[in-house]
Amino acid sequence: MNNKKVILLVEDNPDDQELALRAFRHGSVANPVVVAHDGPAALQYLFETTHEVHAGARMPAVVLLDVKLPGMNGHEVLRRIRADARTRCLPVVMLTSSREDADVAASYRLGANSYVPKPVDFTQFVEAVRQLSMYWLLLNVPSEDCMGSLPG
Amino acid sequence: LDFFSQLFTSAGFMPHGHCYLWLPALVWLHAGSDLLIGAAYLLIPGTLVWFYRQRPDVPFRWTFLAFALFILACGMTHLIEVWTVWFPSYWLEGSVKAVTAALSLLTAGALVKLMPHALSIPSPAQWRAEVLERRRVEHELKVLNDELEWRVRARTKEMEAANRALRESEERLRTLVEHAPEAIVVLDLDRGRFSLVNDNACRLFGLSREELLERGPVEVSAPVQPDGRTAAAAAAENLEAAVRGEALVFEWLHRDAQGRDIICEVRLVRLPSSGAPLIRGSILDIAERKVMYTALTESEAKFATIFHNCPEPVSIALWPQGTYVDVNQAYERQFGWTREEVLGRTGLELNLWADPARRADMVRLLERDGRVDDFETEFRCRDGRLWFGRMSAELTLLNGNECIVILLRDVTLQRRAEQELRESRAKYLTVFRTCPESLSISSVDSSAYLEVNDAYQRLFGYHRGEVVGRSALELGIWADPAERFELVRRLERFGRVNGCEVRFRHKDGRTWLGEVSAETVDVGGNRWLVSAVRDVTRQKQVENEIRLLNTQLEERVRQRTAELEVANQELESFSYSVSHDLRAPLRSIHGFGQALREDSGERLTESGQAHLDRIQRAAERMGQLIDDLLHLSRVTRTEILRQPVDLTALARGVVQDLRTAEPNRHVEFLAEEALRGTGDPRLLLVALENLLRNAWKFTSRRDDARIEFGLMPNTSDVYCVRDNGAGFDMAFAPRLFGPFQRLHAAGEFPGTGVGLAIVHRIIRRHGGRIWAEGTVDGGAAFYFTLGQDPRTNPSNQDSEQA
Repeated sequence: MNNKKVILLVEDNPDDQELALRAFRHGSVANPVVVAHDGPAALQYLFETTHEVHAGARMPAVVLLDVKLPGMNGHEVLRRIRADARTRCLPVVMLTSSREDADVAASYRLGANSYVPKPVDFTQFVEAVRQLSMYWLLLNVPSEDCMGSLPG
Repeated sequence: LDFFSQLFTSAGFMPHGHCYLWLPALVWLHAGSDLLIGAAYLLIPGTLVWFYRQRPDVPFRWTFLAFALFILACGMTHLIEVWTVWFPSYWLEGSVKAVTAALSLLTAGALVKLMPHALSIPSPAQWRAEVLERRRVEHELKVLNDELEWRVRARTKEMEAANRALRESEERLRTLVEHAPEAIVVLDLDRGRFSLVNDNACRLFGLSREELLERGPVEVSAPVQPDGRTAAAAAAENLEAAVRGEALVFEWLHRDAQGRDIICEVRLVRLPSSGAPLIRGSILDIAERKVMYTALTESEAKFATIFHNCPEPVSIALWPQGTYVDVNQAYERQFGWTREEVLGRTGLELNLWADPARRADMVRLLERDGRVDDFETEFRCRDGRLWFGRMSAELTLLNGNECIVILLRDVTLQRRAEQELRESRAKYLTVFRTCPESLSISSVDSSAYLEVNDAYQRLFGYHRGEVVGRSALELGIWADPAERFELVRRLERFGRVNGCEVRFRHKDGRTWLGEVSAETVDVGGNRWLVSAVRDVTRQKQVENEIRLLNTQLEERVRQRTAELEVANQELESFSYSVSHDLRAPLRSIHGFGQALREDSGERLTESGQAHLDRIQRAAERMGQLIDDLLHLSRVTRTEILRQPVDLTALARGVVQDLRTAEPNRHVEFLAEEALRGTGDPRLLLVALENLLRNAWKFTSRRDDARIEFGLMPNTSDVYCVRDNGAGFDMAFAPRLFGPFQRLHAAGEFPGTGVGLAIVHRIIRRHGGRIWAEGTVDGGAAFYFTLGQDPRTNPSNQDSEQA
């Protein structure tokens, strides 16, 4: 399991967390999923080396980031990830209920790698999650140079 | 020289005093005596010379001169005697004595020779006797002489009187003849020549008196007289008659020295005479008289012509009866009476005077002044027509009768023109006076008012009398005199000004805003400024209020817009919440429903499974509704960007997508080529998508499904999407475009009922219109327009901005 890349899921809604994890399972995604309930928690996971969960773990292969989060919203989290040299190249996929053009445009402007609306239909949701994982965990090649500056 | 030095020397001699022994008494006795004698002897010849010069008549005058020389020489001997007393120039003394001796001898000799002559001179007594005798004779002669002279003078006086009388008589006669107006000649019949002619005769014939006296009557006549007789024969006949004592008067053609013929009137009469018969001829040059007579005749004819042809009526009537003596042709034309009809009748008889009382007025004026000028009154023609005449008349004496000459002029037209002018003037004056705008006329140069109207008096507070003749500047009517100069400058440049705003001052000092329109006009060489002023103070106030209101309105619009923007933002955040927060529970419902089915599906009954299905379908449907609702909301909020759009291409694209999605459907699609419109391409795509998807959906039960896209017949901007599908009942047509309105059961044709609402909203947002026609199972047709492009239609643009 240790060689498996981590997926960081930033989601405040417990139902959505549960459904997402279920979708991962249904989609046969075996990688460990780290869940952050809000923006600060996500950023803490990414930047604080003393974090227990973090110890020994590697940088996530992909961050699945909700836009609507309590307090610091998804766009702000994305901005901070892109502002830091350690996470500038980290793949971030916006996974959200919103289909608003404004949200989509803002996300790409801030450097999101992808934007995926969550379908109401769970079957479709599972399919979306499965394809996402397949793509980002298996097909996509991240830049090691860009990620190499990670501490430890 | 030797001789003279010898002569004056005294060398060797003793002065003569020695002889007197230098006894002073003896010396001075001699010297003094000789000096006195010398002096006397010098005085005597001087006296003699003076006498000689004074009396040239004295006989033997030369003896006086000889004595003078001789005595002078004697004097010199005595004086030299004195000299020799002291200076012994004895040679000189002797020489002087010798000269004296010579002179004495000469004088003595002359005296001797003179003596017999001197003895012949009579004595004074003899002279006295002779003088007495002569005086007596002279007296006698004088007495005789005086008597003779008296007689001569008396006789001379008598003769002078006779002579004078004769001369005066002659002079009178001569003057009579000479100063007679005629030429007068006296013919001596015996000699056949003139014996007397006067100056006029000489002048008449151009001959001197002497020349004329050499001639007879035939020589100063034209050889042939006007009656054809020869001058000689005619003259002989006339003279014969005159000799018989007849006094003849006849015309005679004379001829002067220059050969000019002169027509004359000649009177012959025999003069009383003792000798040869004398015929006096008195000749008068009548050429001038003849010319004058001709001229008078011609003048008469000329005036008659003028009288008859004068374009104005002229008449002559006896005064004071008024009986017509003559009238001219113009009179006949004017009154319609012929000359024959009016002669001998009066104007009153002919009823010419429209108002006979006016004739009485005229008569009064004539009696007072002897004439009337420009007397106007109304006259009546023969046919009763009335006309206005201006009359001038004058009393004059014609052929010994007092007459009145009357000149008339028809001034009817003139009076009518004057009347019209008066009325027009009154009309314009009324307009001028009562015009609601202030009107004034002033001189451009002096700016003095000529006239102002009532409104002016109201607006400026001055009476007409206070401003006429004074200038606006003087009155202080211009609050800022510089404005008047500016106005005049513009007037001079453009000839007029329109709606120029000027601040004026009322008489009471308050200022007001006026709008001036002015124009300069040239009348009679003067330039006038005609200006109209309107009080726009109130108007300006209103304008200001409107402007203020406008500003406030704009402010309110801004405020309202801001409010709307806030509302829009709220709506957006609401939509945002909807998209996020309404979906999340649906996902949970659907997701956990699925989880339930998967995890515990075998434990559910069949009906439990069916319920789960319904729950999940409801969630899906809810999700679809939310999507559509958001879609509709987005259409409302999106900004429209107009540009030319190829609608045909859009429609084809949509149908292509539908075919791809449902490749098993066989639908005939007919689209007119290259239909273009102006609008937002994204929204128009959404609209066409909904319409065509609708048509696609409602034709799903037909095998011969057909969809058409084109223009409504006979229009150029009404687009149409027509199908031959299920159609609809026109009774429900009004509900077609409401959101969530469905005319078919969900089971029959799926859908949320939002599609046409979206289309409706898009078309409305383009300013267009959409309506539908359909019958149940007879297909449906949707018509829409895209409205005006605001950029090409200013009024729309304005209303949109407002």
